[in-house]
This record gives sequence, C-alpha cells and structure tokens, in this order.
Amino acid sequence: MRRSTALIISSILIVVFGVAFLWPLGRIVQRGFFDEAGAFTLRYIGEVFRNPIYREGLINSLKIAIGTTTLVTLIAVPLAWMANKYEFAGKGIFSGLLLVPMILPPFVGAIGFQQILGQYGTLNAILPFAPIDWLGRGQYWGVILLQALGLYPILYLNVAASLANIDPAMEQAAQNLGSTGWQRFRRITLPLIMPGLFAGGTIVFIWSFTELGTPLIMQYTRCTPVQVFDALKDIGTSPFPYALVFVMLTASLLLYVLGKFVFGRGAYAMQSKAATHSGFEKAAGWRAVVIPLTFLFVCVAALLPHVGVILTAFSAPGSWYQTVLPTVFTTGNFEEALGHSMTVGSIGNSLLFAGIAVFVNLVIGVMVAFIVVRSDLPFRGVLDTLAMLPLAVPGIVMAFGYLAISSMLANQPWVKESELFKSLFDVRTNPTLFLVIAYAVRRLPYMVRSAVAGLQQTSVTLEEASANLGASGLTTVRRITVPLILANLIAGAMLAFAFSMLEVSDSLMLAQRADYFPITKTIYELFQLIGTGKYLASALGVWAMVFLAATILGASMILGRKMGAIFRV
Amino acid sequence: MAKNIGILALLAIIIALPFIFRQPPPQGDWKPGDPTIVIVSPHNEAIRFEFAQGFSKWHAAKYGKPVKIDWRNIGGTTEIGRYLASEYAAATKAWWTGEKKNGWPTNASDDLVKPTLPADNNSAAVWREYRTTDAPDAISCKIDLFFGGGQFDHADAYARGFAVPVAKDLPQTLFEDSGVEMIPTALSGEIWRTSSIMGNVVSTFGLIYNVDRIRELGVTTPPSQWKDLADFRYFGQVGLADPTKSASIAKAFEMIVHQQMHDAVRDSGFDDAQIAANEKTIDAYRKSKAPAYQRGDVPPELAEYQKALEDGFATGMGIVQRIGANSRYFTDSGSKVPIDVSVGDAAVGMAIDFYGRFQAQASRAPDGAERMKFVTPVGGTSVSVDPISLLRGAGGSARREEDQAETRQTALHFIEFLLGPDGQKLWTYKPGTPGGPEKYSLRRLPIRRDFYPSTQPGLAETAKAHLAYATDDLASPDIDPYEVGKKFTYYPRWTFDHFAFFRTNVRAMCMDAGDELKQAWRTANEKSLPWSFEFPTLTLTAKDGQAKQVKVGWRTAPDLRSYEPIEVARALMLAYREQYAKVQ
Repeated sequence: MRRSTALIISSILIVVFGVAFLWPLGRIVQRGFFDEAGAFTLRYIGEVFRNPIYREGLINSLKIAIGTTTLVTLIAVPLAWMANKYEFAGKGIFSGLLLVPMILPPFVGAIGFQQILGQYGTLNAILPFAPIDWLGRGQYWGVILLQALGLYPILYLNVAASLANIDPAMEQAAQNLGSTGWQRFRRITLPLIMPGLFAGGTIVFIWSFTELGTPLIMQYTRCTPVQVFDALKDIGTSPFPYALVFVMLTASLLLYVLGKFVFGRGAYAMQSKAATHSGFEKAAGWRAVVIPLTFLFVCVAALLPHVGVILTAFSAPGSWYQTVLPTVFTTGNFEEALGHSMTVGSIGNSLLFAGIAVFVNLVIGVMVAFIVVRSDLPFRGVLDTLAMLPLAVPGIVMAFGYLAISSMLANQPWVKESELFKSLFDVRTNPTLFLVIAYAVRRLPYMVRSAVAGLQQTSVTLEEASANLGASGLTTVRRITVPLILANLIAGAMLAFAFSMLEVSDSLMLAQRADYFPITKTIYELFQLIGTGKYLASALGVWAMVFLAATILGASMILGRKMGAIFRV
Repeated sequence: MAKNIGILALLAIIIALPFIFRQPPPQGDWKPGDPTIVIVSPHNEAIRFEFAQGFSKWHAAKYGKPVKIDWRNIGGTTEIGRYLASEYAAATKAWWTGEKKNGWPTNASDDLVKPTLPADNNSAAVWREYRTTDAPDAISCKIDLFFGGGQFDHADAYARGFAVPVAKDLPQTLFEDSGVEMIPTALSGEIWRTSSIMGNVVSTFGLIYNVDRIRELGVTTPPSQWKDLADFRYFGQVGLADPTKSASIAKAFEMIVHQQMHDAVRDSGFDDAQIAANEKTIDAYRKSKAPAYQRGDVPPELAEYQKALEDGFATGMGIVQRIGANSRYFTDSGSKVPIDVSVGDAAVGMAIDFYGRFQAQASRAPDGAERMKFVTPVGGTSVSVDPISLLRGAGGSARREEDQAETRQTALHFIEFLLGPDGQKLWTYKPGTPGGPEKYSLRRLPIRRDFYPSTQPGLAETAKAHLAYATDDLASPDIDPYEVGKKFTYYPRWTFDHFAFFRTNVRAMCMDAGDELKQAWRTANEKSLPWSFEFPTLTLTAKDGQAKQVKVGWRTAPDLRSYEPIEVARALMLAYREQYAKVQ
C-alpha cells in the first residue's frame, strides 16, 4: 500500500473514531477525574485500587475471562476442525444450529435460563431430588460455563473461516513428508489459523471480561462489570463509577495489547489461498458416532435457554411450574406481542438501523484492516487497539455519551432552525443517525478482527501481482482482496448484524419515541407489563431469534457452494 | 433454485407474521393541528396506553379538542434524572450564550443542576437566572411533564430546577372539596404533595412468598413481618430490592428500622400515647436548647426512653443485616422479585403492592390454585406516592412558538385529569367498566380520599360507587392506604436524618461485604455460634485532614455525611468484613 494512501485512509479513520467514539466516550469518562467542586483529582482512580472489593472485582473478572476463553477454545476449535475435515450425519443442520446460541434476545434470555435451571425449572423436574438451586450456587463456574456456551460461536466462526482459507496443499505436503495427524495440526494447521484464533479469542476474552448479563443472572456480583453497573445506577451522583469505567477500559486495553504481544505475532500468510478443497473425509467407524454426538451435545447444552424462551412464549401464564414442560400451550402470546402497535414499526426500525450499521462497519472494518496489515505506518498498532476498545465500554456509558452530544448539538441555533438538522442531530426528533453510529461503533471490533485475520492469511503478493498488471488500487481491492477475504467479512458481518439487532443500552436510551423503537426496546416495553410481560416479551424474542436464525441459515444456504467453500460447513 | 425460493418464502412468512397479527393503533379523534404534549415517564406501556386514551377523550369532552401524548421513554428514574440534567444544562447554556450573549463559566453545566447555590460567583449568576426563568422560549428541555417515579425523584427534580411549582395553576377543588381534603399533603411520614409534586397514585411495600417453596423449607407460619425474613431457613432465598438504586426502596428499608424502634420503645413500657407525648416534650426541649442542641439530648426523665429508641435502631439494623445475609440478590428491577417468587426461584421477597398482587394473580395455576401471596406488613410500611411534575419551560415542546402557551395549558389539563375522579378511575377500575381503562387492568391504588371508605356521608357513597368497578377491594383495611398508613406512625426525629446513611450502610454491610456476610451467617448457623449486631467504629479523615474515630450509632450516623462518601463506604465495608471474618 502506498504510504500516501495509507495516510489518507488513516486520517479519515482517526476523524471517524474521534467523532463517533472518543468524543462521546471522553465526555462521560472524564467525569471520573473531577471532584464535586470541579477540581482535577486522581482520588477516584486511586479508590479502585485502595478498596479491596474493586481489586477483587478486577481479579475475578480476569479469572472469568481466562476461564471463559479457555473453555470457548476447547469447545470451538475441535468443532470447527471436525466440520472442516469430515462429512458426517446431520452436518448441515448442526453447522447452522451451532451459530444460534449467539442470538439470545435480551431480558427474556434470563427467563429462559430460569425456566430451565430455576429451582422449579425443567432440570429439577427431571431429577429425582429436592430442588437444587443451580442458579444460586457454583456461581463462578456457572458464569464461565454459561458465558462459554453463549460465546463459542464467535470463535467458531473465526476459526472456521481461517480453516477454510488454508490451502490443502500445505497439509498434504506435511502428510507426504510423514507427519502424523496431531503433528500436522500442531505444526501446520494451528499456526496457519492463528490469526482467526486470535481474532475470535480476543473478542471472547474482552467480552467475557466486561460481560454484565451472565454474572447478573448467576448473582455473581464481585466482578468489575457488575460493580460498574451498580455504581452507575446508584441514585447518588458520585464521579466514582466513571473512574471505574476508565480502569476497566484501561485493563481491557492492556490485556489486549498483552494478548497481541504473546499470541498475535507470527501470522503466516499463504502464497495461494484455498481455491480448491481436497474434499471432506467421510467420518467412519467410531468417528461416525462420536462426531455427530459431540455436535449434538454442544448444541443441546447451548440452546437450553433458547428452548426455555420458546416454551415460555408458547405457554399459558402460570402453566410452567415444577414441570418439565408447560402444561397448557397457547399461541395467544404471539398474537398479542406480534400484533402490538409498537411491534411492526420496531422490526422495520431495527432492520434499517442494523443494516446501515453493518454497511458502515464493512467499509470501516476493511479500511482499518488494510492499515493494520498492509501499511507500515508507525501508529497502525494504536489504530488496531482503538478499534477493539468499543467492546470494553459498557453500553450505558456510550449511550450517555451520545445523549450528551445530541443535546449539545440540538441546542445549537443552526440545528434548532433546520428540520433536516433536527432530524439528524436531535435524538428527540429522530434518533436514526445516533443509533446507526452507536450500533456501528459498538460492533466494529467483530468486523475489524475478521478483516484483519483474513488479510493476515492472504499473501500481499496477490495484490502486488494485480498492481503489476496495471489494475488500480480500487480495482485490486474489489477484484482480488475482497473476494479473498470474503469468508472473513461475511463472518464479521453476520456477528455485527445479529448483535446490532439485539443491542440493548443504546436502543433503550436513544430511541425515546415509539415511532423509532428498535425491536429490543419493544421487547423491553412488553417485558415491563406486569403479569403477562415475560410471556409477551418471550414471544417477540422468539420472533427475533427465528428471524435472525433464518437470515443466517438462509444466507449460508443461498450463497450455497460459495459459502461452503468459504466456511467448509 | 427451489431451495432458494423456499428460504426466501420462509423469511417472507416470518416478516409477514407481525403484519398479519397487527392491531390497528388506537386512532382516536386526534388530527394534526390538535394539541400534543410531551411526557417523560418510567411508567409501563399499559399505563401509557390507558392514560393517552383516557386523557384525549376527557380533554375533547371538556375542552373541545382531543390531545396526542408524545411519550418519551428512556428507562428508569435514574436515567430520567441524568437525562434532564444534561438537557437543562445544554438548554441553559444555549440560552445564556446565545440570547443573553454571556460567556459560559467553567463548570457551570455541572453547577447549574446542583440543589445548592454554587460557590463560584459566575456559576451562581447562571444558577439564579435558571431558577427564575420559566418560559418555553427561553429554557426548555422540550418535554412538558415528568410522570411517575417516586416522591424523592420529583423532590430532586424540583431541587435541581427541572420542575416548577404548579399547584396554584390548578383548580383548588382537586385538593379540597366541600371541606374534605381529597389529597392530603402527607401521610405516614410520606409527602404526598407540595407546590410542585403532585402525588396521584399510592403504593406500599410488602412481602411476597411462594407457598410451595416455603413449605419445602420447613416454614409452617408464612412470613407476615419484615423480621420474619431474618430466619436462617430462608438463606439464599430472599429476593430484595436494591436501596441504592431507588429512593422509594431506601425508604422501605428505613421503615423496617423505624418499625423496630417503635417496637423497642413499646417493649420498654411506653404506649403510643406516651410516645407521642415524649416526642412533643423532646421537640420543645430541642427548641429551648437550640443552637447548642445535640442529636439525642433529652430531658433527664426521658433518658430511658431515648436509650430504648437508640437500641431499637441497632436492633432494626441487625434485622436488615440478617435479611441481607439471607438475600439471594439486591435488584434494581421492580419486576424481578415478583417474577422469581412466582416461579419458585426465590422463596420470599420484598415487592411493591401492585407488582405483588398482580403477579400473584397472573401466576395462579391453571386450576386457580394460588402459588404466591402478597402480605402487607402491618405497622411496617408507609404509603408513598408516584407524583407528576410540570417541567421548567413546559410548552417548549411545541413545534411552533405560537402553540407554546396552549401546549403548556394542555399539560396543566393533564395534571387536572390525573388528580380528578376521571383519571383516578383508570388506576383502579376493571377494563371495560364505565370510565374504566379500555384494555389493561392497571391495578393501582388511586390517591383521592373519595375512593375509600369514610364516615362522611357524601364520601361514603362515592366510595361505594367506585368499589363496584374497582379491581381490588378498596374497602379492605389491608388495602385502603388511609388505613394502612394510620397503622404506621412516622416520627421524623427517629430516622429522617438517617436516610442517606441507610443506603450507605446497607450497601457496605450487605452488598459490598455481601459474600463475607453470607459466609459468616452460614457458619454461625451451622455451628450454632452466637450472632449479634454491632455498629463499627471507623477511622475517617475529617475536613481539616485529621484522622478521627467515629463510633457509628443513631447519634452519629447522619454526621457521616460530612466525610468523603467513598471513604465512608470503604471504611464501613472493611469494618463489617473484619467483624464477619471473626465468625469461625
């Protein structure tokens, strides 16, 4: 890449990051550095380290992140490897089902867990003992297990994309030279998929380090994200929570940089990509049984909360209690939830916001990846790290940041006087711009990691050849680079789209009028109805899950062979 | 190809489903050009729907025009408070620097929305102007009303300049009619209305329990008082609301302690009449000794009474500690505890009355068997209100300047509707009854006196008429807020100044040191070790930088405010952790 092009692209990126991310973030987090009288102080930052419960919180979060990432790796890598290598019974269905755990809708997800694992839930109804309090005990391991079962698809997708990129000639050459299966995996496959492993692994690590929902479900309170949430929701107005956010952000950054230093080096690019595939080996003998069973086991375990949500959506209020399944089924919850005057509009809104956000993500993600992988700019590492930061910022902090920016802009005379500017910058008039920015920023890490992994695996010589033959930069990107990293881009886009559709904090706070509610806010509003709320919210949650599952599975099937070559699934 | 079409067809069906089930939104008679008001509210969709419909019809009948309500939903009261602060700071800055052409002092954005006059002179000038300017075209957050939340949230909104006095702009018959006070200014120690805060619906805190779950835990007498939750058999099974996240919940914790203080003085031989007389004597004594009066100083003959009171304070806090030791969690979500108890995922819990009663009804077995029950702890709960406030610059939500006055007037009409009989009916009437809600049963308790039994002939008849359509038995002494409130006598001297301390202490004692508390409580019970509560002694840094020892107790607790809050929170937490570590 020409240095001047790299400089122009990175300048654009810095401006975009600055305006869309650092500005709103800075407006909020800086409060942690000023006391009530407005004087600069490091007292609140110091308190995080002086107070043992916050120190313990940080250590516990770190332990959770390490445990979750390890477990996710143990689940996702073997599955991706098996899917890439073998043909086995039910492979098509399993490959799709494996991705579904990541689309658990908010609020009702906890209800799903409760119906299955609660004291009067399904599991206890099956077991012949007095009710066991699964959600109340074994909290630390419970958090790790539940998080791993929800997050492994992220790593699975990234590793699957990386495996698909490996030229089979590499492994064949090793085999010819007498290398055994395990040796081949350790010496050839593993180093080659390292970019994908690192991409998925870091996202899972930072996600689990800053994850709030699962610890709340398990009542595991001594970890930083829950402490941040508790402090932010406190009715007091202490600047302390912002200091805690700052420490959590810094810790995430340091851990990412450390991870990059230890695991992220030494990516091996291949001269040729997997233009052909040696074909799947048919699983025979014990493999024909064990492989599908492994997939089945992971799918069942990971989809239990989803099953809980689905059955809640179909159950009559009060009919699922101390029993394995609901005793009275109904479709009434769907009729009411889907028919609600807020619902149709919110579906359209979500599709619009998430769709534009993913498009923005694609463009920015590819730009960042180019700078990081293909340029020699000295600050490219900073850009790479910056792009990961949104993952570590609590949603509520960013939402407050965007609100502050919007109210500042909305009070400018030039905004007040123009209907167009009001619709763009005043969330009270129309939150679309801010929601798109919020979704795009918060989901950017998936796209960046996927695109970076793809570029790292692809040799620059292919692009150089194109340039030698007279193609312009843009043509090379369009005709050579993007097709080569398409698998990675699709993986990133799928994650970004699904998670944008399910985004909570920004949706709750920025969309203030029913006309602009996204689907998550409608789920929240239905959930607030006393008595029937959880059933109606579950019904709409199920609709969202089915829609996202159909979109993901549909995309993979419509893309057909192309997708098969991309993911080998 | 067929497969692709199949997939697309499937997606089309999924997307079409909501359109097939779609119910037309209620149109009403509103058309562009009719008034619109903007209301920010934490109330749920059911309440928003019914009040939008009801108000529009009422307004059309009384003032000739239907009204559209443009609801703003941005979360709970914490979010609303922060949002209003940010909006008013931005609006004032724009007005101050634009129209008034002044410079904007550093820190003014933060200082402006603080309850007290800033020390900085420049900020103070802005602060004063902001507090005295209430015009839609000057400073406005483009929202007219703040509806719902607790009394504390609205008092805070007033203190920070978001809300403005409104009582004088409303028909006074709403408050007092034919010599009857229809909406009291206060009851059971709770403020119901001020010049800016207009309470319109009431609630109490109570206990909920799962019938099956407590039987399995070996409890034969269901809990009926707060102290019952301190029983170790409920270990890990008590769902609690978080007093640090809502002032009304903090108030509920205050009532737990207040009730124990009441019991303690009664156990020492003072009946209610003597308590009232003693408090009067102490009040007179306090006035005679001012300004040298110190908290807890009483005439010598009342020393025993005072001691009993202070012991009761510690006993109450000890009960809170043990309830905290049994806790499953402290949640900020109003619906979590009732849902969990109704499905047996917690055995007992603390809930607001309407959530408890509503969830108990909704979670009945298909054969009608009751699984969850709600109990009002008699003498242990006050009756609090959900108010509405008019926001500064109300009317500013109108798109055209010439509509601002009408918009502001319409916002006042909404308050009038809400406090009058027609609005009050929506809270309690069954859906479909004359004057009742259209679709949802809201099952909340109206504030007006004429909805409840009374010995006054006119009122008694009105109450009877309402009772015929009400969802709850408003005549039951367990429900009638005027009766429930009577059983709880609130003495501000006992705990009013301790309000902030309750939050700090419950948080340090039960949440921050929660893991250690639970461990110690379990050990003590399993090994039959004695368990007692003791307030700790803290070492804190005074304003002059000197270290100071403070023995926490009834007399000293309110003064902890004068120290750095994060230091107090840490010191309390460490002290309790140390106590818990000794239980082995």
